[in-house]
Amino acid sequence: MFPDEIVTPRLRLRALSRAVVDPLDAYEQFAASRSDTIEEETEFVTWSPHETPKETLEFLEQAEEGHESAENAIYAVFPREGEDGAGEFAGTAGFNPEWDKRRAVFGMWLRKEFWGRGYSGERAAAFFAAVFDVLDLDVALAYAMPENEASCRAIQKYTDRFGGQEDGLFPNETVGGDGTPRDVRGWSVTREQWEDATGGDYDAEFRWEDGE
Amino acid sequence: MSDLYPAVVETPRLRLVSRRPKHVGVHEAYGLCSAPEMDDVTRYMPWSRHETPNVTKDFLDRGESSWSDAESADYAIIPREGETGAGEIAGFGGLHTEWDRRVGELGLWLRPRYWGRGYSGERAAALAALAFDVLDLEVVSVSHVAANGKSQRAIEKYMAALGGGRDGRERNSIVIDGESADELRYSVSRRDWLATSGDYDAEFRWELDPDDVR
Repeated sequence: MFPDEIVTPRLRLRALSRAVVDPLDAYEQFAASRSDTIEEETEFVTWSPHETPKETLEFLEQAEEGHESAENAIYAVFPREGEDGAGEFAGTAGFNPEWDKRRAVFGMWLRKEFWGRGYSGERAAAFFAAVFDVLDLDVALAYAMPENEASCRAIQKYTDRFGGQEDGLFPNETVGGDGTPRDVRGWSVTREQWEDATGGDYDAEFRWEDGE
Repeated sequence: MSDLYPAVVETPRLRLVSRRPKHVGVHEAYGLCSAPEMDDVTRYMPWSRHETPNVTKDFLDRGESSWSDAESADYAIIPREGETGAGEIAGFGGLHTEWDRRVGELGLWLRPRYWGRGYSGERAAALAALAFDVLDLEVVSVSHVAANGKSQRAIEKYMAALGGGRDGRERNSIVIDGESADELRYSVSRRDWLATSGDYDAEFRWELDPDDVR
């Protein structure tokens, strides 16, 4: 159902799995004890740095199951040739379809080294095409905590570009990695808005392993 | 008896009695939940009028299990003496407690003959007080389907009175008759509630003799 690979001008997204990212290599990026930047990278997400390699393994297995069952799409992000850190595991990005509601929620986590390059917007452009053109959903949503100014700016920018809008500020909408309630800002783009803004064109290529 | 939720909530004009088999009879509830007028009630709700008494039994059983699991305080709404239709069930409503987020979510439906009396606001004031003053929650929220103008008017009015307001629009957040629909979401924080109202005219009782429901 979900593409196994999504290629944009500067990024290669590969369906996250143990084959694509070795669990122990990924642990180096996810672990509180191994990465100097993970605390900062997870300040505004709903999960915490991994405590053991087993957590990383289970995270990858969960990603494989979500891909197989078409319940949650999550990709490993690799900058392409010509980019600084080309071929490195730069983070994860996904969309979670709610089929009965005909919508999908975007999410992304990038290592600090790769912040500020506009990768979030480039990935979003490809995901809009995936959810509207490939999966026939009607609304794409993105959320960020209001204190997360960089993400808010990035989301504001790409939802503007694709004709969408901010939908509101929702108090105590989620729970942070530390267990405390957190407010959330929400944005959306509808299929009509995306079609008006793009004419249905996009610069992304979708690939399926079985050659579908 | 150590339930978190009070079995009875009394406001000036309403009595809220826990929506559990021991307090609400399945046949009485089925009578109103299966009435043709329920098509008007459920027009903007993700369910339809009850087709068999077994649906009503499940409805009351869910009231019991979410009560004992401390997930939702669900009530039958009963107008008190002096009101037209006193002693009858006017509808059902409650407070869904999202403990990890410290949020209480309001929900309500009333039979059409009880619309327009301000019962929704009276019940909301009492359940907001329950959420903040008794259950120590931080936020009370409520949503309505965007096209539901009646609920919008009632909610805008009582949310303003409680000190809250609209948070925004939730797109494609609910499925009604197989179609995805938008909802408008409102909330009030405990701080704003304390600054605006804080006082309330409601009484909470944890004990209720089943023979004394009405």
